[in-house]
Amino acid sequence: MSPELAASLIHFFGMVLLIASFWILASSRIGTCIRAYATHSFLLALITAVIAVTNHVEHLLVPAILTLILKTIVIPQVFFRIIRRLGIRKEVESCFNIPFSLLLAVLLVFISFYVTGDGKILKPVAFSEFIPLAVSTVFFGMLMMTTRKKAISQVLGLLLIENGLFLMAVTMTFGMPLLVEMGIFFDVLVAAMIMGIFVFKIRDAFESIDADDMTVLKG
Amino acid sequence: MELLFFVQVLLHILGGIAGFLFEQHGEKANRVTHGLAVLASALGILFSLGILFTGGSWVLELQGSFPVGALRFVAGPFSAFFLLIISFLSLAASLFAIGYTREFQGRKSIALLGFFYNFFILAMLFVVTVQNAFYFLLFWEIMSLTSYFLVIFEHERPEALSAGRLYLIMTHVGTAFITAAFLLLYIHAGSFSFDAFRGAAVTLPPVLKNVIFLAAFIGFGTKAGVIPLHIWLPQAHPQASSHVSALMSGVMIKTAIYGLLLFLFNFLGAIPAWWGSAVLAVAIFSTLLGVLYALMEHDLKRLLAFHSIENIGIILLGVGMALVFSSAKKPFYASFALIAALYHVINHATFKGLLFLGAGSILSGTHIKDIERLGGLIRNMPWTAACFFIGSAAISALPPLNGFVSEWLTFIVLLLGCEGASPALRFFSPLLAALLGLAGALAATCFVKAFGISFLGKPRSEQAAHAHEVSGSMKAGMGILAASCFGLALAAPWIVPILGKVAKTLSGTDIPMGAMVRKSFLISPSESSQFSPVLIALILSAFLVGAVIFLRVLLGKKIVRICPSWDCGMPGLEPRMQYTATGYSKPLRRIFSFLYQPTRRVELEDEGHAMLRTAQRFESKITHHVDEWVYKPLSEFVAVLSRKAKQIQTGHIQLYLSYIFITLILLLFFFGGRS
Repeated sequence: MSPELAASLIHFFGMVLLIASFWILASSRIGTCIRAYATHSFLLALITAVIAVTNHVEHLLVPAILTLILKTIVIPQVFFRIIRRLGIRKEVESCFNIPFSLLLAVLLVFISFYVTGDGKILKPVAFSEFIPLAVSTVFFGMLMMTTRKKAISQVLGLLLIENGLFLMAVTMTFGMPLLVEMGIFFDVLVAAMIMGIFVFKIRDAFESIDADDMTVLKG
Repeated sequence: MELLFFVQVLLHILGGIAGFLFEQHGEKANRVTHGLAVLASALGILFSLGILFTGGSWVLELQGSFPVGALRFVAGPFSAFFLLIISFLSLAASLFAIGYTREFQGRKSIALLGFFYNFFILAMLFVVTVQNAFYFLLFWEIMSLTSYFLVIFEHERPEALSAGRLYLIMTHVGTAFITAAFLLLYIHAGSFSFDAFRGAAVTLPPVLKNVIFLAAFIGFGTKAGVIPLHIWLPQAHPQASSHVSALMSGVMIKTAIYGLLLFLFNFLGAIPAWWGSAVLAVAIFSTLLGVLYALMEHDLKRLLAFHSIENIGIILLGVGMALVFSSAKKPFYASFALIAALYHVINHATFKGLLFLGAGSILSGTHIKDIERLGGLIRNMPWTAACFFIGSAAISALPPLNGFVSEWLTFIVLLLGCEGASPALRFFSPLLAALLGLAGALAATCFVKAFGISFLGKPRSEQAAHAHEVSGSMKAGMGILAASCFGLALAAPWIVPILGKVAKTLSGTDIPMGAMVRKSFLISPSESSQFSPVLIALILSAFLVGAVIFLRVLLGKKIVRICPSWDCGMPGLEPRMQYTATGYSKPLRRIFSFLYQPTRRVELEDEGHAMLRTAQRFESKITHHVDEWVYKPLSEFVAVLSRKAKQIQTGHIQLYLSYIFITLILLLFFFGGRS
């Protein structure tokens, strides 16, 4: 693979990744949301793999494979099981309607390009164009956490933030040491499990997973 | 010699923990925890006396990886002086506690009390020796927290909890100011070490210096309980157990004096003229208002707490004059003023400790705090009565007791202001002396009331009638302090040179001791007056013995007739016919009514006709202006602010997340935007 081809391939995947992020926000059903997250993770794995091959940083292949297995297959399956057991078929409940959150998302993309543009806070070594993408993925995750009402969407938002950070780490520095990567993956997996359990517990305690009900906890 | 200090620390730690090894509520825990405290304090006395007499100093430096500098302890004469006071008073208080805490047995965990008690003492010991601002604040905080837990030890009483809360708030406000002062010094000196502060003192810019002075004065003033920062003191001190009250009033508020002296004379370099006046103004207000409020107080321990405010005022009068003389370049006078202040520090610790222990004895003998329900205790509790009497005489500054010596010194210092200060102070300092005299007289009145109503006359309640004398260890605790009230007075000519050494480490000037002490006479620096405590004691006792002999020899025994006192034709004297504390203080309530603004309410109940009275109720209250004018509006303001702040706390998790989100985006804009 020639470097030019690799670069354009990576950029193409980056664009698709952004579209996948929008898809997560745009989907009105939780099931679709999870599928979109799986796609997002899949693209992340692809980008990591391409970087690993073209730049000869073979140890990046390990996180790429782990991303593929964990985030594309295992975690979405966990989520599907959760929504099956909770019997959620309803649409995603949001504080804003979906077109408005997409508008907000566009605005956030602009912001992320604006604030990272001159490399003042983040000095990349490799793919500087990916920084705004990664930052906007983080922003999307936060937007998801702040505007969605169901606890399960908040968990998805957190995982989306994690994806964004991972993207930033991979594209900026060709990944962290392998040990750290493994630790992070393990953390994400455990976090997904624990949060899944918490969602059940929240349902048991409040008979719904609507985070609004948690206002009764306020002192 | 440093071994003594190590063992003292170790014993306090052991004493704190060992109580839990035994049955927590039982006698064994009590003996172990307080017994070890007694031992530790005895060692501490030896250690600090060793330093004071040899003039050496002890240094311990522990290097740590914590980026705030080494943990360094130094006990020079100045620290040793405070170590001595702490150890001395905790010796008496711990002895007292062995008997006193028996009333908690089976009811409360004595091991827990001993834990906080021992660590409280330990924290104070470290506060006055540590030489690093960071660790100073750490130990200061431990001292505040342990004393807070001691205040709320009887937490089943709601007033203990609310007093504790007030104390916690005020002490943290004070700590915030102290922290600010230290941080400003840190920014200037570039290190947390006290030595660095001392080194950088000369180059402090004047504005920064004044800001640090104000912060330190407010911070330490809160702990010392000067008016108007005193409101916690009369609430919190009475709520703790009496031996703890003795330590809090006797020693803990003195650690604030320690810190203040450190700042004023060591960290801030040359002293601007206005500091002295500021300290004097606060001091005289504390002195007068403290004693005036004490006069109207009928809860024995609250009364004593208000007297602590008064005495802190007297100490600060000495400190203030020392500042005035330092800025007027009169180092000899300044040292003399410091000696007066330090002398009053140790004297107040002694007699206030004694009085609080006495109040504790009354409490344990009768379970009454309100002196209106006491009376006649002298018959059942002669030891307590004698000790309380000595304490009362000492705090009223009567010769030949120690209060007189230090107040005499303070008077001399104030009168020296006529020659050594600025023109304005030449006018004001004699006035201050006159006001100090007024405060002394009022204190005497107050203790005539406190002693007379509680110990003399007839018992006003069932409990007072059946009071019992306290146990041996409690008598011993009070006895030590009572004896030292005499000792500190008679030994004044030997104590003043030692205090001179202490003052020298602060002000840096040598004091010609020959000019201050001649034989048994203390001499004022201007040679205008001198007095010998020993001689006064001799004259007074000669007079007393003479009077006894005169009466015995000349009149013999024939004049003693035993017959009923005249009872106005009523059938027998009743306790209700006696003077009450309220009645006794009535004239002063009238004289100072502009200050007290007393309100009274009389309720009469009758059966249809004014002549058929069934009950009358009388209520009299005075106004505490500082509370009314400062703290009430302040607390309302804080409440309003909190209600406003509560609006952003909705409990919606999404909202909290969006706070984070928005903050992140704003920060990114701020630091990362395209230039």
